[in-house]
Amino acid sequence: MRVAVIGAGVIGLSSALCIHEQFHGLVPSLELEVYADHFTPHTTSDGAAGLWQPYLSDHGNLQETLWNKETFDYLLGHLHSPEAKEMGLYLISGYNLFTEPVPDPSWKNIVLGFRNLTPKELELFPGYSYGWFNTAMMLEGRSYLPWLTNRLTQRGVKFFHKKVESFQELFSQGVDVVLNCSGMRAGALQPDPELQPGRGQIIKVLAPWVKHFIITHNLNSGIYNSPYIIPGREFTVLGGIYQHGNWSEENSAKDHNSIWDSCCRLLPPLQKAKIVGEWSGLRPARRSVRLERESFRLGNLQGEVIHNYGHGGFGITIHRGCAMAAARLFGRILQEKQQPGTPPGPRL
Amino acid sequence: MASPKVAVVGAGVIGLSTALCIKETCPSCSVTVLSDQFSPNTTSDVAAGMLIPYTYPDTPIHRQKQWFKETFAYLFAISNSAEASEAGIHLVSGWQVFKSTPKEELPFWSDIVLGFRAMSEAELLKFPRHQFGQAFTTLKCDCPPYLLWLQKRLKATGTQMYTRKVADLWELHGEYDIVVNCAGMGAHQLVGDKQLFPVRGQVLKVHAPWVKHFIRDGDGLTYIYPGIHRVTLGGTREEGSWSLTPDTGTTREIFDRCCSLEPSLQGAQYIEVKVGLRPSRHCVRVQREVLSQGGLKLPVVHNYGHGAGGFSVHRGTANEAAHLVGECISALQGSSSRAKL
Repeated sequence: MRVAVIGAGVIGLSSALCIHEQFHGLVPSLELEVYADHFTPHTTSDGAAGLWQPYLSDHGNLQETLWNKETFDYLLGHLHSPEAKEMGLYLISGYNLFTEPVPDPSWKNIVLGFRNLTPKELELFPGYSYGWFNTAMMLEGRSYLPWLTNRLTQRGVKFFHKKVESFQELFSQGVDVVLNCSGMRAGALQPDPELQPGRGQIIKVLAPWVKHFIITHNLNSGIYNSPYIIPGREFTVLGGIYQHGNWSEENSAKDHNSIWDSCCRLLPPLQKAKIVGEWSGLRPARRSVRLERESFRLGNLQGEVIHNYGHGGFGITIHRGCAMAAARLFGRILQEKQQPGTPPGPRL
Repeated sequence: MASPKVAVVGAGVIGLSTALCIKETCPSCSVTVLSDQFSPNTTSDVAAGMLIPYTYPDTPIHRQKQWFKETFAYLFAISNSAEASEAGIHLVSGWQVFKSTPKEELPFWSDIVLGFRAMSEAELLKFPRHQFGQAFTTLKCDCPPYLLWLQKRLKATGTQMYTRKVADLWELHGEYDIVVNCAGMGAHQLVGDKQLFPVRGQVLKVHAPWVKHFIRDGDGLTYIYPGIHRVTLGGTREEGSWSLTPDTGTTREIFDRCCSLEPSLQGAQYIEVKVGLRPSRHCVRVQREVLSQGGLKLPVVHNYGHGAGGFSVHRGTANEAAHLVGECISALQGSSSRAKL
């Protein structure tokens, strides 16, 4: 059974790992391959700061909230493991700031120690009159992706540096199941008008005195269009750009100035921070995550595709829940494919 | 007295902050800092500089609270300014955990730090050997940066600083009108205070930039304090020990205790070991005194004996000491105008 994963960002690699972990023992002929034109450190996941935090509202999409929770709990369980450092995983606390009271988020009971900010804390952030404090986690893509890659390589999963042009291309080579984790470029494999870029730009600075994340919200301009500061292990990420429909991956001077000015106003000590990098990336935005099966039949070519893309600005936050769901879909495909004549395997 | 000459003995956090307060309240004073050690070789440089008060058994609580409140407010303002990184001052959140619920669940300073509350059950899961905990956000003064920043502020006011070992306060008579004794552990020798005793502390300073929270065991012996570039791991409280030599067995033991609170510290690197002697006293000595010897008088203001709580109360005691210096100046002016009559 040949399974091809398209995409080597956090979604592709974690889906591959879930499937291999769960089915390698059950399907002796399982061959897993990862195809991508970009690998770490050049994927969208590498550019993200890596903070676990969903959007403010799940818009009633309980499924996504459950996947977020599954991811948080999975990561929390790994915090004290010897792997945590290699994974780029650690606890972090911080502030979400608003100019008016807002309802509590869907994730208030998922994170640790969620509470409202006190008046004295709000004094730190002139212009903001309401906010939250909570403890969450960082999972830095630049570490997590290599960790996933190592786990996969140890398991014998093969990697191919190749841009896949179509699902048919893989099916005609004998692939049975394709996992479509192509993120922003899923539209090139199959048109999807719901998938749009949410362009972001970030400035990387050295500000090791910053120990908290600070995320501001402007309910009029929408998510991530308001300054945010996220301290990592080696550098701090300054951001606050979300441009729907903008495909440019070039750094814009106008956005640079907007990020710099607004973040320095938010946290004056940043004025002394040294800039060490800048990056633009495209959040693969969609009204909801596309996580579903699709059967393909073209002449005598047939195959199954499991779509797992459209995670917007919360890919790292939701990745494990989606990877497990993708693995469940794969399990169902296996059940359906059970050949007559062979002894029945364990019920999946 | 046009321009009183004030000597401040000691250049740790107490000496430097006291000198600065004196200059701020009495700009016409000429202030000179004298010390045998300056940063990075003071006791303050070893300390993590966390604003978590130590409770002095014999100082009234309201006074300790006032000192802490003033110190916190002063540093809070700097932490949110463009000077914060140079001054080494930053906010840090974390947890103080207890193996069994303490008698006093709400310490006197709980309403001064930010967001103080009891830890939730879910948060306590991270500390399987601990039953109770407090979460809050406080400030940290990283040294050397904070001391160097104080020195820079002092230089800008025209304050001179000299490396000089003062063996006897009377040495300064004639040269200076008022002496301020911020000699810390040195006061044991300098003024013969037998109530002052060292409490030896050994710490490790490690590179572990993924540690973003402080963790402190309520027994005060084990703590993890993340600074700007290094995390301070501690510690020990050895009463009466004067040894400044690091002990390798103790290093291993501190590391193990901290790893059991925060397992990820196993991956910490570049471990540096330091030792400091907390200048301990049952109450901090912030007091005015006029020394007399053979008809000569020397006004002295003492500000020492801060033990484990120096950073937490430094600005408050510096303010009080500066106020006492003001009283000394008034007394001198009073007696000098009487002398003119």
